[in-house]
Amino acid sequence: MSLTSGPFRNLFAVACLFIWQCGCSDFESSFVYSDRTLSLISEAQNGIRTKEASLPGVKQSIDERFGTPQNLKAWLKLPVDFGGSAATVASAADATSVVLGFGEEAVVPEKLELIQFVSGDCAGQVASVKSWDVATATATLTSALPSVPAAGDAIVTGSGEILKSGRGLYQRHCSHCHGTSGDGNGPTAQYLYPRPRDYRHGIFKFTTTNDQSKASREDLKRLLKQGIPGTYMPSFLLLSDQDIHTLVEYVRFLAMRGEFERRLVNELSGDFSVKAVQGRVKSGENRADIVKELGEFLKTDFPEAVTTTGDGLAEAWTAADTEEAKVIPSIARIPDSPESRRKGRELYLSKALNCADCHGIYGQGNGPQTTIYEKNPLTNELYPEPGLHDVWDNVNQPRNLTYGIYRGGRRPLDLFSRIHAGIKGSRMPSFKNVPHEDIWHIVNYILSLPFEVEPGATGNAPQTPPATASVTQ
Amino acid sequence: MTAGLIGCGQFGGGASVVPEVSFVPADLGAATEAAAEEAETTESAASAAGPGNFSGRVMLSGAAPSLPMLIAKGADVKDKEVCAATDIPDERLVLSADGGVANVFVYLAKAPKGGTAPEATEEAVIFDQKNCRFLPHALIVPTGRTVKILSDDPIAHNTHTYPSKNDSINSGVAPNDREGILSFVYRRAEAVPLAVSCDYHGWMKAWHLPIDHPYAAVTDENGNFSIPNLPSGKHSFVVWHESVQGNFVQRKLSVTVNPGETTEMKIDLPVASLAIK
Repeated sequence: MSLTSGPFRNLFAVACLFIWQCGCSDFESSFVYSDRTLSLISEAQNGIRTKEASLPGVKQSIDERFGTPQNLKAWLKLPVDFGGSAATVASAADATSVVLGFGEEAVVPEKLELIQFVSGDCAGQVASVKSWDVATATATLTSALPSVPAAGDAIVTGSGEILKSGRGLYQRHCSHCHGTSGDGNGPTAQYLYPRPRDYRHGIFKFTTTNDQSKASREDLKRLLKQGIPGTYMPSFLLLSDQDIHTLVEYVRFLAMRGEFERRLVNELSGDFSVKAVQGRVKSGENRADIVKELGEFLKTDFPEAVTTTGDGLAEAWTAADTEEAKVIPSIARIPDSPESRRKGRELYLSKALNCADCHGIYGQGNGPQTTIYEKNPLTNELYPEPGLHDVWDNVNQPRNLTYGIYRGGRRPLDLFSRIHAGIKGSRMPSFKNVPHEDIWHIVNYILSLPFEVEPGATGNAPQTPPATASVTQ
Repeated sequence: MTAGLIGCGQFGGGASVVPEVSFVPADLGAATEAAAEEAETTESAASAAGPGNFSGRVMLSGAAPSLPMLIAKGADVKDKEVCAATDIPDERLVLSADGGVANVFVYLAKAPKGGTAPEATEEAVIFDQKNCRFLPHALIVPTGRTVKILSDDPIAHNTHTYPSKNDSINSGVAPNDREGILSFVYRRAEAVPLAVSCDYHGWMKAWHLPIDHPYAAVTDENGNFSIPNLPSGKHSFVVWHESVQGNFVQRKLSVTVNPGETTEMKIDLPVASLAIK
């Protein structure tokens, strides 16, 4: 007998109400705003409402485009497969018959079950389709719309099912560590080292795209399938390809939400953070004047910044999936040989590349840079712990190359990409201008490191196994 | 407690709740043209009246702090045969003998009404380094112009930028590269200069200001600057220095420019406002 049935039921309900005084059904998960958003003065966070106009601040600008975990928004500007393709109303004979227009490159769907109206008088309406004629792209609706849609109104053929199920899969498999908002701060995060990725910079470390490019869908898919060796990120190889695709889209959605937030805050923080305003008031300015200036900014410049930011995100994430963004070696891998390893070692130790500066002369990840104290480049304050720091403010532990554990994958191409494009968000720079032949030599050397005799060790070097296996009786 | 959770069928944070999804048009809240046209930093009185100039000098007032050399010649630092081959001054505060402050950025925060676009040219902006020191220390970069990164040192450097509106770059620089095979572009203007550093040599630091109009200058070794051909009218300038607390020498320096005339101004930088002692 379960606690939720039979004689215990009432008792249980009372207990539930007692524990959650406002009732269980009121609990909703939420996307949290970043600390940087919360460091703005409240007028910049929440916007300014006057008699004449209502000027959205950062929070409203985000929420209108991304929603909450219960009511997700699919902003059609973003290159995310939300589930449903964008189209327009070509013409409408009446409120039950709509001819749809698809872009030249778009595929006209074979089946159509519902239409969501995005702009125009019918915006927000979801209409179910009684019959769909592919040849004429005419949808006959089950029930009449409140008004006849106008030509040019934006619609979506679908219900956002990928975003919907992505949210469910993400909450089940990812949110424990990465958090509901993708801030890398789920309930388990504090117990983990390295920390789970905070997506909100829009940066993923291990990619096969160029140094200035975002992660491609392929990169994220590979990371999900293979996990990240040496960290707590497991492999999700048992999920179906469709589930992986769905999760990748949802993670990209969260990454774009976070980066959108970050970039909007960057537009405002210089002049309108609590700290900046304190400084300005101290140097003689009047707070009311500053708020008035903010009002002007929100009215004239901010809408443009919102548009530019959205365009920039759309462009960058779209470009990441193109051929031009890929790291492609200009020559095939130099075959591994003692000679190639030796060249790689020379390059590794050379003054020109100086890999040893961070990774150490034996590749153990303990170069001199790991012992320096540095300042946060943005706040100019000294970090409490030694070593170089990444954009997430975590200490960058240069990889110990003697372990043979490669977080971004162990294919030679993965290592080539790490050197060519650098590790994004970390202090590992891109070496895209190093000749590809040289990069391959370094790859060969690095792949040989786990099998090198320990430095200073005496005794016999490992022997080459016999060419043919022999069985001893 | 666990039982409590099971009982709550509507536990909205859970994975099993199917959310609502509503679509938002791509152009939501797009900037209207009328709003975008208004220029904020300039009240142009008579744009037909022709341009004027703004020039001046930034002067430190009070007893100047004496900064030791950042790297004295022969000092025992990393890559000392290159980095300590000569004295490297501490460029956080560079003063002339009579107190002129170098490397101060003076610029209009926003392109003025009636202003001209930056000169269109294919010529790259050069950002160099020698003896583990960036040259120049303070650099104005027009948006869209190629920045070529050079190195006059036989050792590894990388150039790592910390912008807020542009994308960061972090790339190795080939030793003794006088051609600049490493290059990049700032696509957007920044509100304030951004830090540029080399991760191999933590002391190397420079400042870049990407800007989308020609009305900007960096003070020279005597603290002088000159911004010609400004549309006449009242302007609001930003005066920015890396070592001032909060970085703004003046957040809004009001300057009136009359047609055909040069507005001269002495800008005071009090010692008390410095973040370095």
